Amino acid sequence: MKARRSLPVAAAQMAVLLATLAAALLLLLLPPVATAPAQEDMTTLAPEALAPHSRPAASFVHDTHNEKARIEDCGVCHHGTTEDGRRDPAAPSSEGTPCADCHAADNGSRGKGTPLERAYHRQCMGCHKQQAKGPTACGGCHAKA
Amino acid sequence: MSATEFSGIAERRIEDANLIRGVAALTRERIERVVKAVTKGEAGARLAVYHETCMRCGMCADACHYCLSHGGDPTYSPVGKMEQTMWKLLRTGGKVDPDDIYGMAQIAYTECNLCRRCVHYCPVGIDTGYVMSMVRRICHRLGVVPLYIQDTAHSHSGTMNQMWVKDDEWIDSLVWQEDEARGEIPSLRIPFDKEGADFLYSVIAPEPKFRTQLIYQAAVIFDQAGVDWTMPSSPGWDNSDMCMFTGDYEMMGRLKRCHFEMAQKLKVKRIVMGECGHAFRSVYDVGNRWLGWKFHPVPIVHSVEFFWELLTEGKIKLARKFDEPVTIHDPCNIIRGRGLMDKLREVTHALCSNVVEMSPTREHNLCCCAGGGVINCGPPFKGVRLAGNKAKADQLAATGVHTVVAPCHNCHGGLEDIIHHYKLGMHTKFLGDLIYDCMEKPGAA
Amino acid sequence: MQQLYNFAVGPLAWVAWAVFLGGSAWRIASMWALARKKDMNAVAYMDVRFAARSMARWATPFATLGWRANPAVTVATFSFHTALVLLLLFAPGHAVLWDYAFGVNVWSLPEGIADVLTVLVILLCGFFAWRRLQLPTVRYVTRPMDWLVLALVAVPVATAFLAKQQIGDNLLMSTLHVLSGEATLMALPFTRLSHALFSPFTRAYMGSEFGGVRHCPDW
Ligand code: HEM
Ligand code: SF4
Ligand code: SF4
Repeated sequence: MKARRSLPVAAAQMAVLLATLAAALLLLLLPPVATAPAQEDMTTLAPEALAPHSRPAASFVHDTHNEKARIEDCGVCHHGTTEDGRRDPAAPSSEGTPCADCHAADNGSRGKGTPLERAYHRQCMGCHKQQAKGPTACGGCHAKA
Repeated sequence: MSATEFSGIAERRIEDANLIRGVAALTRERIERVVKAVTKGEAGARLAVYHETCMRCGMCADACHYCLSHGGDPTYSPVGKMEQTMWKLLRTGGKVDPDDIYGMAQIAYTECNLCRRCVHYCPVGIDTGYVMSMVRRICHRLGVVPLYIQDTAHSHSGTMNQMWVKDDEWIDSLVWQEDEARGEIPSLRIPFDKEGADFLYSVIAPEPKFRTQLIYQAAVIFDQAGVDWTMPSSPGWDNSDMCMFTGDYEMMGRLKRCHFEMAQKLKVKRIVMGECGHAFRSVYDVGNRWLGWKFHPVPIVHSVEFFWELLTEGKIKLARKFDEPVTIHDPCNIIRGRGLMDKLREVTHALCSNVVEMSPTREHNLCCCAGGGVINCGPPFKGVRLAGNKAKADQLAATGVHTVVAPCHNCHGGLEDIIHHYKLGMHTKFLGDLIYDCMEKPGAA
Repeated sequence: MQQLYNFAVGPLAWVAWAVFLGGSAWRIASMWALARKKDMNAVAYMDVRFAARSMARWATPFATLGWRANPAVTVATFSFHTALVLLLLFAPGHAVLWDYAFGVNVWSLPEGIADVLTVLVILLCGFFAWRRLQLPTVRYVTRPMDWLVLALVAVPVATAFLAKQQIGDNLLMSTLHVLSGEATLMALPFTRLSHALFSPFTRAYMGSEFGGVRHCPDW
C-alpha cells in the first residue's frame, strides 16, 4: 500500500466546494436585472446618453416631486451657467435643454465639467441630503419596477 | 459529532517522574508570572503576531506525522497543539492550573519534533517550531521538564557534555580509537589541539559514549583524504545541545560559546561537525542567535557537505560502490535547516549504485519523530514516537528497500525504533559508514 | 432611517476610514517597534528578495505543498479573497460613492459580474462555516474570534446582496450594509482580520529565514 499522507476529509471538502462554486456560476445564466427605461410622462430618469443602463431607471415623477418638495423655481434643478460653463444661480434657467447637452456622458474624458452621471447623483442626492428629505441609497431611486 | 469528542492531551497523559514532581511544586500565581515573563518579557512581536494571525484554517494538519499517524486526530495537528498550549496560555494570560502545565509540557516535549515540516503547509507563515520552543521555555522556567532530557541538560551543565563523559574519558576514547585505527592504517593519528588546523572536528557526546567506531571511521576518512584536521582535548568538544531543547537557553548559550571559543582558540579555519542534526541546529541556527551572532564566528560545515567536498575534490577515491538498493532519509535539521538535500543526493549517488527516493522526499520529507529532543525524553515516551510515526513506517515500507541512508544520529535512533516496531526489516546507515566501506585506503597496512 | 443612512455614508464613513487607516498604521508601527526591540534575532534576517520570492510562491494557487495538499481550501480562499478585494474596490455602488464624494471616476465591475462575485463570497463564507462545523481539524481549533471575523465578512456582503437585488426593505438593507461594512473596516486592525496587515510580514520573515539561513524553499 502506498503511504497515506492525506487526511480523509479532502474528498468531502472538495465536493462541498464544487457545489458552492456551481451554485455561484448558475447565477451567470440568469437574465440581467437592468430593465429598459420607461419614458412616458416623465416618471423616470434614464437618459439615453447613459445607455446601456446598468441599474433600474431612477424613478422621478416630475410634478409630484416638485409639489412635494415645494420647488417652484425651475432653475433650482435646470440651473443656468456662466459663460465658461460653471453653475450660476443668477443666470437664466435652462429648462428645455437636456442635461446631456452640457454634461458629457463619457465620464472623465473631458478635463472640465461635471460628467452626466455625477451631475445627476450630486443634484439629487446632494439636495436630498441638504434637505434631509428624500432617498440617498441606491435602491431608493433606482427601484425595480 | 460534538465539540468535546477530542479531549486531547488529557486523555493520553503519560507518567514521568520529573513532570509529576515539577507540577506538584507549581502554584497558579507562579505560572501566571512565568508565562508573562516569557511571552511579554522574552518574546515580543513574533509570538504575538503568530497568535493573532493564525487563521485556524487547519491547513497544517496534513503536514504533521503525528496527525497523519493518528488518522487526522485534530489534537495532534500543528495548530491543534498550539491551541492546547501557547494559544491557550496567551488567551488566558497564563491563568491556568498546574495540571494544565503537565499536558502542555507533554505536548511540547514529546508530541512535536520542531521539524518544521508544517512550514510548507501554512499560508500565513506561522512557525510552529518556534511557538513550541517558547512553550518549552515556559516549562523549563517552571521546572516542568521530562526526567530523561532534564538529566542530559544537567549533564551539560555539570560536564559541558551531554553524557556525563569525564575529561579523561574523552581523551581516553580518542586515544583508544587512534590505537584501533592504527591497526588498519599504521600511520594514522588523531591530532589533538593542533593550532591553525584547517578544521576542528566536533562530535556529540554519544559518539565517545556508545558509538566510538564512528570516531574511528571519521579518523580513517580524514587521514586517508590527507586533510589538516584536529580534535579538541578539553570541554567544548561536544557540539550537542539538549539545553536548546529543554528551553534552558542560558545553558545553551554557555555550551555554544564554549564550542565556538574552542575553535577560535585553536585558530582553525572551520568547524566540521559529525553526522548529527540537532547539534548542527544548535550551532548553526539557534545558539549563535542567542549569543548575538547573526551568523557564525567560525564557519560551520556539516559532514554531508564536507564529504561532498572530499568526493568532488577527489580527495577520497572509491574502490567500489554499495550495490544494494538504498533510500535517503532527509534529516530536518540539515535539510529544512540548511538546504543540504542536493549535496546529500550527490554523495549518496556517488556511493550507491541504486538509490530509491522516498515519497515525499527532500525538504518535504516526513520527520523521524526522534528529533527535537523527543527521543531524549526517554523510555516513558517511546510509545509516543512509535504510534506517532506510523506514517513514516508506511513511507519507508513503500520504498521496498532494506537500507536507509540517514546522516543524523537522532534519525538513526528514531528510524531504528520504528523499523523494529513495524517489522520493516530495514537498517540505517551513516554516510561515514558507506564511505569507510567503499573508499580506497592507500595507507592501509 | 434615511437620516441614519445619510449619517452612515457621511460622517461615519470618515470615522470608519480614519479608524481603519489610523488603527492599521498604529498596529503596524507599534508591532514593528516591538519586533525591533524584542525580536532582532529574527528581524536581522529580513531580506526583500527572499521575502518577495516566498510571497510570489504563496500568492500562486497550487504552487506550494500546503496549497496542493488542500485543493478545496486553495480554490476557496483564492476566489474568496480575490472576489472580496475586487468588490471592495470596484463594486459599482462603491464607485458611485467615490464619484459622488470626491469626483473621482474609478473603474467599476460590470453589474452582472459584481452580482456573481457577491453571491460567490456569500457561498464561500458558507463553505468556511461548514468546514468550521464539520471538519474535526478545523472545528477543534475554532474559537469565537473565528466566527466573528467570518461574520464581519458575511454580514456586509449578504446585506449588499439584499440591497442590490432589492429584497426586503431596501433602505434598511442599505443602511445595514453600510453600517456593517464600516464595522468591518474599523474592526480590521483589531481582530483576526488583522491578518491582512500582518500576514505579509509573517510570510516575508518565513521567506527570509528559509531563503537566507536555511537555504531551503518554504513552500
Ligand atoms: C490582503 C491581504 C490578505 C491576505 C494575505 C490574506 C490571507 C489569508 C489567509 C492565508 C487565510 C487562511 C486561509 C483560509 O482559511 O482561507 C485567510 C483567511 C481569511 N481571510 Fe484573509 N487575507 C487578506 C485579506 C483579507 C481581508 C481584507 C479580509 C476581510 C475583510 C479577509 C478575510 C478572511 C477571512 C474571514 C478568513 C477566514 C476564513 C475561514 O474562516 O477559514 N482577508 N486570509
Ligand atoms: S498554523 Fe497556519 S495552516 Fe495552521 S491553522 Fe494556523 S494559519 Fe492555518
Ligand atoms: S512535529 Fe514537525 S510537523 Fe509536527 S507540529 Fe512539530 S514541527 Fe510541525
